[in-house]
Amino acid sequence: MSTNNLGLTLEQSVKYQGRWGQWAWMFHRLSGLGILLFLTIHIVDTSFVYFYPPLYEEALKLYKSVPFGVGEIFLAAALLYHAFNGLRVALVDLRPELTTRQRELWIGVWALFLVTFIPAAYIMGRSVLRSMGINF
Amino acid sequence: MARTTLSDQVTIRQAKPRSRHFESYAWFFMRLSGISLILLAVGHLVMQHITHDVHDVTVGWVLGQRWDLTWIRVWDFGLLTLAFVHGLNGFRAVIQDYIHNATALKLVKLLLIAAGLVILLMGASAIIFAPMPR
Repeated sequence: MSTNNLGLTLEQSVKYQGRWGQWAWMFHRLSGLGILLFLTIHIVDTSFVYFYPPLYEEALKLYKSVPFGVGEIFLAAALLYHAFNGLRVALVDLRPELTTRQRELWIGVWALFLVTFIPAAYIMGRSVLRSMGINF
Repeated sequence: MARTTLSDQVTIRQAKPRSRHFESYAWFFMRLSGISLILLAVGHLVMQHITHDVHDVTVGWVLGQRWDLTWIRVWDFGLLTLAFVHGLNGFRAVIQDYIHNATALKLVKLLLIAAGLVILLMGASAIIFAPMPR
């Protein structure tokens, strides 16, 4: 009985072998939790524009740093995946006959993700590199 | 060492719905807000990171170039409320899967609501009360 909830969750996640459906669900959770973490921090820092602007300037310094710049690219990835996968979930709820086409829809989610994320990552990555003095 | 089986760890909760329709409304809200957020959140990403650069953001820019426009404040207010409530409700779904002690779950939910309200009020009051230039 030494296994805790987290250990059990991780153990069963590996054992379950739910293939792509399980991965879709797991990525949706992880991306959602990541976005919520950033959103919470971002609401508080943005509120300082009104409550205490000097602290907002401090937060901006942090956002303009390279690690946060890289983090923002991951945030964009999480947001885009969560958006398109959530659309798939909502679509299947709305049109249950699509349950038989889940695999195609899943491929569609990744197609939409790649089409939107690659240009976004290029533009955001370029801006991070520029802040380091690397221009191209 | 005895093997831990799934049935040793999973708690079966007595269903005791407070409101008969609450989970249906929550489900519907997640779909409605989710679809709205595709526009609001992805649009926000495009505005802040693609057509503009985070490295150029200053307090003056936020007040003078963004929050001087009413439609941006309305957008931000919609994004704030929908995204945060959507996220907190998603978080509720996650903790319900992993916290099996009813008292602990109730406590965490209360904390979540209290902290959520404070943060939501902070964000909302900034969007509403931050001074308009001119």
